[in-house]
Amino acid sequence: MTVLRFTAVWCPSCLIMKSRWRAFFKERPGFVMVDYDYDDDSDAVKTYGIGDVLPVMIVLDGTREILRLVGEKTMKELERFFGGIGR
Amino acid sequence: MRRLLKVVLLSAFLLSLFNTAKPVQASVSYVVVLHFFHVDTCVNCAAEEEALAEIATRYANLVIHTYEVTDPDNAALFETVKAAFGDVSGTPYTVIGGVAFSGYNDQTKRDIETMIVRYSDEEHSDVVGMILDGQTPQPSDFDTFGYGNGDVIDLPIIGEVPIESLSLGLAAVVIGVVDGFNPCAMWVLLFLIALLADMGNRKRMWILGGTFLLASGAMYFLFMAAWLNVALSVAEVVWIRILIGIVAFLFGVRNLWKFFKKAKQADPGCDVTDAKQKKKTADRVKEIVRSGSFWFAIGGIVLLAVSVNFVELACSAGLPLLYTQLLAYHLLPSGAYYGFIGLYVLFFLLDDLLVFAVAMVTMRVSGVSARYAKWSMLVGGLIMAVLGVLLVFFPEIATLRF
Repeated sequence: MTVLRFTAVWCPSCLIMKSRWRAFFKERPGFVMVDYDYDDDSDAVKTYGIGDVLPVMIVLDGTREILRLVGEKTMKELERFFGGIGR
Repeated sequence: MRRLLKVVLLSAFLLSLFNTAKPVQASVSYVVVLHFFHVDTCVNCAAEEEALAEIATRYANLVIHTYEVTDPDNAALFETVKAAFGDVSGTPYTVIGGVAFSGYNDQTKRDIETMIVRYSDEEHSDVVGMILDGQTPQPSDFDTFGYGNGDVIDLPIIGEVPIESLSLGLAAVVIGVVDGFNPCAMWVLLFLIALLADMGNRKRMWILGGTFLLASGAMYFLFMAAWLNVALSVAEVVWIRILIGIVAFLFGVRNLWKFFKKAKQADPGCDVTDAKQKKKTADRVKEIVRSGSFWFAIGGIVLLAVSVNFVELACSAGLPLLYTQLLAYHLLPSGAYYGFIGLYVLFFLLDDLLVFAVAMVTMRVSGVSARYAKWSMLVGGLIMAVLGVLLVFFPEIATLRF
């Protein structure tokens, strides 16, 4: 499974989520991470329909989107939304 | 922790608004004689006469003597009194004890009342009475307008301030902290620290990060000091007070509207508005940090701090302007005005200083949650809207003059 992460250098919430993602995915090593910059990767932003709030994390199973998380999420929320995905 | 912060901020705000602790008014023991020199055709004299009549109803120990100075005897006395005070001004002219007030406006009324309260509890000379009795007042008979020893408190850095102005300190802390959580400029500091942390150069991080914070604080301080001087010169103009009240109210409503809009948003995060402008600033920060020249980097950081905080002012001008306006309604030693502004700026920078300190210790940068920014909008909006309404309808409360 692939995780797409959209952030921007000017976004404090992205900084917060980067450190949470680091801790979260340490426990779930089976994912392939792809990071996009909101300003530099406009094609990907358009393709995945990124809205007006950052950060955005999209989980793909092959090419099928199975989860999209927008904005700040606590570790508990990440656990809850992911459930059994990637276990 | 967040709940605690909310409770502390709201409690402090409410305390600053509704703190009814007043300086204890001493029991009246001295007669206070007020000498009022006026001309019947003078508009300001008429206004003061009306105000004095109103004040007299509240102080049983107050005796008012009036002198119409077109009368030759009164005119001669007026000249002698003015000469004694080394004054050349015209009417209205008011003397209480060893203090003279020239002209009249709302502030004069408050100052006169301050002196009545003070002299009610303090032995004092009556300079005009002495002149009428044919005595020559001595230097020790003259006084300066101010507060009695019991009515002032000596604050570190700020200096002596009247007790009634203490709420300004609390307001500086509360409004400064709320203003500091405004997210407009903080991302620049975070980005700057993140870049510096990646380079792993702690010394450069200290110097450039510290320079950015120092320049940001100086920029904010200078802006507020400049506004204070404008505000002091128009403090007694009623329509300006009302206009500022209306503007503060509108800023407050705007913040509240933003808060409720964000509250509906299920996902707190960064809005991508002005993303291009932010990207441009980010590129500038990168260029500065990666510059080989240390002095170019320092100069660039200072310019960056100035320009970013200029934008910040446009983003959150309501709170610093409002606080400066509140300061202008208090008669303080000039050092105290700047002390209070310094206190405001210190608490405005508090969140930035904390983020910087944590980053310096851990060499990793952490953002400040959008949830805090959301709550700062609510508290900031409430402060501005409430103070705006009070400035228009209840100025005595709004100016934190308790």
